[in-house]
Amino acid sequence: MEWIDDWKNSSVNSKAKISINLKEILSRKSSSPLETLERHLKINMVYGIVFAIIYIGLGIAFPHWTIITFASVATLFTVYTTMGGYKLYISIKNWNSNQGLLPELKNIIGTFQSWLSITEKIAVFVYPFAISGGFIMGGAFSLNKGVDELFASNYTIIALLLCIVILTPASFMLTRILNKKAFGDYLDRLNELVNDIEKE
Amino acid sequence: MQEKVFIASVEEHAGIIHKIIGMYIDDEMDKEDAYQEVVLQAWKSKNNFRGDSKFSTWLYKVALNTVLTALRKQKKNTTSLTEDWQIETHDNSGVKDKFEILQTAIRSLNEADRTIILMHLDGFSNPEIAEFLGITINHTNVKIHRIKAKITDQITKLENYGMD
Repeated sequence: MEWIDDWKNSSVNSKAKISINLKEILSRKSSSPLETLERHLKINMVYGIVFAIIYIGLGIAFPHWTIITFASVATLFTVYTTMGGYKLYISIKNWNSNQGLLPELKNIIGTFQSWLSITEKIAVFVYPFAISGGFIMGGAFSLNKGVDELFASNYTIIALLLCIVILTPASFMLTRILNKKAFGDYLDRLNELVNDIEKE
Repeated sequence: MQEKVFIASVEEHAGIIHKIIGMYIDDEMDKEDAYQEVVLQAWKSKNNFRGDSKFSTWLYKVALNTVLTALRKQKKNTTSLTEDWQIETHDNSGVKDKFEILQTAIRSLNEADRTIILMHLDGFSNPEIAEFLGITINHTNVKIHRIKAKITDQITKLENYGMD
């Protein structure tokens, strides 16, 4: 094929030799999605620990059974998701990039999907408890009433249920939309690349 | 690898990085960003370079890997040639035109096929390409055969109907 010789007879180079300012390059944030994910996971873990401490503190500060229940559930799920995030963080840290592009792409897609699944689990399970805890504490503080006193009225219970019914799916959908916006295009592109490589 | 040696080695082979980036990215800002990202990834994985292959070969793979996995925005089926690339040929302008057509034909391929044909044209053996991609040698052979047919077909079309 003649064009193979055309390629061999030609070479493409940049106009000038480019010197490297390594310090500047090392000081920049990597645009690699995996490193971005690594940074996000680090931030998530810090938030997870901070929120777990806050939930435990709330349970201690307001020793009513409802607050303790909500705080306990929220703490357990926060610890669970933080642990999941930590495992993911470690797997990214121990990434083996010498295994070939196709397995690597599949690993990246799998890792992202695991992380997205974790964040969506938070939305489904934690928000109802967080909403209830926030509702009860907000109500008790603003109306200057005790928790039992607050729930003496049926309207309060209905309002709480409405908040849970509306805000939980809303937060779930919002999480999905934000995840899709942040990573959807990237994952679609990688999936397309995987399909192109696998296709004969 | 020491910092000075690394910098000198990358500077010496900067053309490799630019060649690969130029086959995947159009936008100037994105190109500069990709260049820095490749150097950053090369620096971070420099301990994986054990000297069993040439530095240029290792850098070539790092650049391809980075461009393919780190790109978040991709213009599909690019057919225009960027202007800031100097095309050096050992022959006359006729070869340059042919080379431009060839580049356009390659850039019209999907990313995976572009990677395979780039490696093939740059002298990587089929087992090396298969290892880099993580696919079988047979699969690679079949793909190269089909990509060559596609490029030949594309070149014929470009020569007959022009590049516009």
